Amino acid sequence: MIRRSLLAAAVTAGLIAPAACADPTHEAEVNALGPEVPGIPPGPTHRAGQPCLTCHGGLGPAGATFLTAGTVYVNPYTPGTTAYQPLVGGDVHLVDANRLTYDALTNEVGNFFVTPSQWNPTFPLGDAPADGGPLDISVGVASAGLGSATPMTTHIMRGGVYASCAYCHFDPPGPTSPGHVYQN
Amino acid sequence: MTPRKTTLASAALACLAACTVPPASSTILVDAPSESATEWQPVADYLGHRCGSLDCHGDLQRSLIIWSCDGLRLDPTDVPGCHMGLHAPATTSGEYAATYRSLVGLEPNVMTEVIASGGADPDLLTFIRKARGEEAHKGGQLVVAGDAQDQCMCTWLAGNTNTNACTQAVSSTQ
Repeated sequence: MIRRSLLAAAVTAGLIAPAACADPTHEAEVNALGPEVPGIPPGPTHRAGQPCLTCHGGLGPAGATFLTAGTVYVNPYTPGTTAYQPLVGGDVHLVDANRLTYDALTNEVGNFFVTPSQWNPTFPLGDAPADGGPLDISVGVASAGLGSATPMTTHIMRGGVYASCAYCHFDPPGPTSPGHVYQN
Repeated sequence: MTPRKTTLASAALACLAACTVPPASSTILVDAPSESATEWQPVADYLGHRCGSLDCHGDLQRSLIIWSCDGLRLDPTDVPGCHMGLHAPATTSGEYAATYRSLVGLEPNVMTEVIASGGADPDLLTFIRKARGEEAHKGGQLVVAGDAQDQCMCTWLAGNTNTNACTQAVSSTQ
């Protein structure tokens, strides 16, 4: 009987523990993103423009974990506009604190993502040349026929949920955001 | 408990609660480092660049909030991105002042102690310890004691900002 009670207690604790460890703030952030858009299942082209690492930053619920990810558009925010042309085939050039680089390409909806198995940088991304030479592009976007890369002059200080483009770059532009990432 | 004892106990509790709430007019005097343009602004420019990005201290939810032209803006009509050609104005005097108040007001008693000693022991301040990685910091260790970034902050606390160190601190972390 005692053994059964212990077993029951262990099972109960096992069921309760995950709920007790849930992060209500993270859960609220995930829920705030809303459901999938009908016709676009989870995958590389879903949820364009959203902060990818809210779900893909290691806290779940997405299975795949990203190091950084985002969506790039051709043009900047324009008042009254809700749909933007995605930058297809854009080169997102990333530089880490040790000057190691990685180039990610944007897909047909402008999304890009980098997984830890593809690149294992040292944060912050976008640090200076150690020799004090000319600045590297920290995070740039370039695409054939669409002009030169646009450098980002600030750092991406750390990974996790903070390393989504849309964590800082959301519309409309205002005191807490420069607006979405764009090429031109 | 008799009604009389209950009343007394309630009164004592009410008095205790009243005594723990500071009056609205109370002020804390802080011996603070300089807020002048020549002493503070080079430090603020460095802090804005190194610590004030929107994913770090350019966030109203942080204890230490840093306003800067590439990060959090004070005026609701301004946007970040002054160095990206986004028609964003340079860091304003209001933003310098707001960052100053945020930093100096973090630990007013400790700040007073550090300033009274002429900046002799800056790592009594949490923001110095966090930057040096001596205390848990989500951004990790960002400076080494004695390097240009550290000198920029510590000379300000000592009352004689090394502006060259601040300039070097910004350029070496771009």
